[in-house]
Amino acid sequence: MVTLDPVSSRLPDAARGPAPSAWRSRRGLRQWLWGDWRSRLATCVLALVLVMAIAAPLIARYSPTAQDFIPFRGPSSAHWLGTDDLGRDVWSRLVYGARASIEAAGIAVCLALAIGVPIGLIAGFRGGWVDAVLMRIADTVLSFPGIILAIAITAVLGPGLVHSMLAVGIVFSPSIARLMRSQVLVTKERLYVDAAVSFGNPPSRTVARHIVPNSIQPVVIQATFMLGLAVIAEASLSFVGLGVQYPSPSFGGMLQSASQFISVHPFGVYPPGVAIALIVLAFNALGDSLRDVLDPLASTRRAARLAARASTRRGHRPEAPGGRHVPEGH
Amino acid sequence: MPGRGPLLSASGLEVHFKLPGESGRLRAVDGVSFEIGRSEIFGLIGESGSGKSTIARAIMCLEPINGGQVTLDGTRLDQLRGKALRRQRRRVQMVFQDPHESLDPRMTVRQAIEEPLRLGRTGSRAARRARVVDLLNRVGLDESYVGRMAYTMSGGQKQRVNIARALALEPELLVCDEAVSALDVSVRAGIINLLTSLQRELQISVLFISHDLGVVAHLADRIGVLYLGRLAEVSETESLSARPRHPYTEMLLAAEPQPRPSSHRAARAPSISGEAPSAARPPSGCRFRTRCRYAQERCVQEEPALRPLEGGALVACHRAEELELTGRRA
Amino acid sequence: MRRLLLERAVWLVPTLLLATFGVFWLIHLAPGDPAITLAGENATARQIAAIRHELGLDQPFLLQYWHWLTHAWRGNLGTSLNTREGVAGAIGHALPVTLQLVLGGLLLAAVLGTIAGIVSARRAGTSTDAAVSTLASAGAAIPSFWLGLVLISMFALGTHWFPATGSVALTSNPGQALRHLVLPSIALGVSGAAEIARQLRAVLIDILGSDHIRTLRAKGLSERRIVWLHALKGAAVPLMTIVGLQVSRFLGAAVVVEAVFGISGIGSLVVGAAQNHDYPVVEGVVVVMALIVIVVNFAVDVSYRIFDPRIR
Repeated sequence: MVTLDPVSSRLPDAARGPAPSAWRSRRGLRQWLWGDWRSRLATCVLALVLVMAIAAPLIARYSPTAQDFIPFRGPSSAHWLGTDDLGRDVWSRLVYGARASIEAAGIAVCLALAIGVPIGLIAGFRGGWVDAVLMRIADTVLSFPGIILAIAITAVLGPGLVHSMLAVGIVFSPSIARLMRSQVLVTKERLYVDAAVSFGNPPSRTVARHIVPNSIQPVVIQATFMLGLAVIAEASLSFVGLGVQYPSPSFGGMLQSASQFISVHPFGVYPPGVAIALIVLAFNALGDSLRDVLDPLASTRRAARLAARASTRRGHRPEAPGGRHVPEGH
Repeated sequence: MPGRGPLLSASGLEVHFKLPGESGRLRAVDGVSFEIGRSEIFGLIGESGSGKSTIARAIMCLEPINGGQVTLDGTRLDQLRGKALRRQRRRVQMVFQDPHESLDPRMTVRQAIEEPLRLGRTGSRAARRARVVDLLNRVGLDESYVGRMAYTMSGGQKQRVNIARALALEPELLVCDEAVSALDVSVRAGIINLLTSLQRELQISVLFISHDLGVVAHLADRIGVLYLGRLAEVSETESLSARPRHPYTEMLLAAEPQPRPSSHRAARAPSISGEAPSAARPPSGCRFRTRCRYAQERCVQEEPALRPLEGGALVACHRAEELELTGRRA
Repeated sequence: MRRLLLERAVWLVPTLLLATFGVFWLIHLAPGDPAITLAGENATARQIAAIRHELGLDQPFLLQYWHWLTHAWRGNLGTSLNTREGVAGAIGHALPVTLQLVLGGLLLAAVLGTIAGIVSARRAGTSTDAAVSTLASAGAAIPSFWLGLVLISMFALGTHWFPATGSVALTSNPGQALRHLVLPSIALGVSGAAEIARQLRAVLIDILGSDHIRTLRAKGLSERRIVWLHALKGAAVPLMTIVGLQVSRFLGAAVVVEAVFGISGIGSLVVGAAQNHDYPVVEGVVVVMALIVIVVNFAVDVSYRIFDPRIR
């Protein structure tokens, strides 16, 4: 990297990246979870799901595995979402299924972060052959279709919620590693890192105090989206019988049994399917709003582009996005 | 503390960069030697690409050197590693070109200035905080700034914080790399005056690097003129501007804006002509010959060495004795 | 051009080696001894040892890998532990079925995604754009296998427009094959279409804001001509990349969609093998899938470099 002329790197302040105060402030949190109608809805959905997951025994009205009722009943006041092929209460199974789903997403994403973040950090920070080797491995893992690799890993570990989600976590980890690496590559060239080194920070402290905190934001955003992907992955693997095992309730397992009897009781496929879609939409919405909070630049740039385009359509020249000028205060 | 000899000396300094996609190497700094005395302000001037920032980074041990040595008060900085290096490098601190980039965007002003103090394990928490306020006052900011984040301040304010941070460790040498070039002209004078008064007050040595001869001449006791990774001339500020000995210095002086149009302006040497050739492929012989109006056959064949002239100036020009060059007040 | 192909092709070798080695190593970690599985419950230690020797399981790991690799190079991916059939043959039977489905889904996704992308980019910022975006984010959030179930209950069981399950080879009866392909392709294609629309929108908005397009507008070209002719020409290369990168996702999603529609392709093969600990089959399938993705990515990469003059 040859930068002989630091003067050429002069950019307007606005082009420098996110306003970092949002990261820690209460206002940022509020804007993330409650900023617009989408994030509010998403927060409500996820809060509900979380309550369902934590307090499942209190919310479920019957045992999720008790085969006590007449099968294939439609919704009623006794069974809000009807009963399934074995006469189990669908609402109760859905509540427990939510628990499995959240647990699964948590396991998969935590593992992906636990593997991906350190690898990306090492690759980006060390560079050279270490970087080349690690990224080659990451690219290789990325070249497998995710679900198929997850199936293969599950085949080796044995089926089950935890095993299948560890597999999904492994499958997710290279994209986290790649993202982290690309961030570290940018951050470590920043002048404040040089400054930190120059007052005598040892490398470990420079990494922990300056490089990681300034690189992690996009990874956190990505992880939020991954939670949604993990919910789908759990449902898929449980659907084909490699995830949560019978008779424990899970969205995928419920869809599996509903699909067997789809000609008799087509309603059965809707409750778990809608639940999956809602949870995934909610995670995606929170991912979007987190990106808007943490990286307002990306969204203002988008908005500026739209505005420019709209004004050219009307035949006006686009106005330059006005930067706030902060006067010298002394 | 030994008070003898120069504080810092660089001799035969070489910094090379590998060019991407090419087999050649870029000799960004190609055999540069100079000394900085105690309490002296040494100015280093050159166009972009002349290697001035690389020299600063090499002295700060932020850039590995490929040849020569950097000696601080008798200690070879370039041979130190790990803890010993961290202890020594604190004696030299740097103010970077870009005031925004050199502050960690996640830190408040207090955290930024406190960080070097913490690393030095100097005093209690309360003492450190008092010292932060004291440092802020020294650079012309009041206590109200401690909680502010970098992005809420103007360029000038940020650069004041950077100066305060650099002074926190009570360095013996302050390296200012284009410390004012990213600032508005109206703010520049304030920062320059601040640096001058701080230097006088603290009696520290300063290496002041800039592409602006006017600024350097205003501050420095002695000036080194850098061209394509080599020193063209080193001289006392007074004699350099009154009687330049190298044609390149003459060209730089001619390019300086004049406070008022003077009558002999027309008679002066033509201002900057042509672009500097790339440092990756310097011309044969004297590097400046492609833009020099005094160039002769000998300048193509033979590279002039930096040699002392009578009067104390060092110059790298074959024709230094015979040429009558025009200075500022000729 | 030839040099470029060669240069990129050389890059394939380490990736392929690493991929096969990784899979081989993973399968090697699997618990249980395939020799015991094969020998049956009443086998003597001697019989087991004989089988181990026959399979080469008594050799060092790297040597085993080398044997597997050289066999795989010649098209021999080993023998299924359950059916005792050749793995390559089983994959050979299942793969065309899956590819047929993936191509159907990809085609649908490309067409649908391109149209949606163009519409929302042309009307960026309007309510149409917002509607398309909302649809796209819903499309991306719905698991494709669930969409398949919904489609079955609506259009196969409810109206009998399309068959609910099974598949027919395109070569034997194209009409029947297409009828069988419609619902699974939609199920598979919708999320891909959403992704393509989202990315194409961003690309097109950039292009439509460029000076080049502004000049064309100033010249008085009709907006329709600008979008369909000029902007889309500029977006062709990124679009190709976006679609190409979906192949991996489609191959994965197809596994589950196949299970919904009772299609006996790669999906049912690998899922069955995974449940029955039939490791050679799992291994073979994963390697073949990775091979397909690597080759597709290679093709995308090369065509990108050929068609985009900026990177060369």
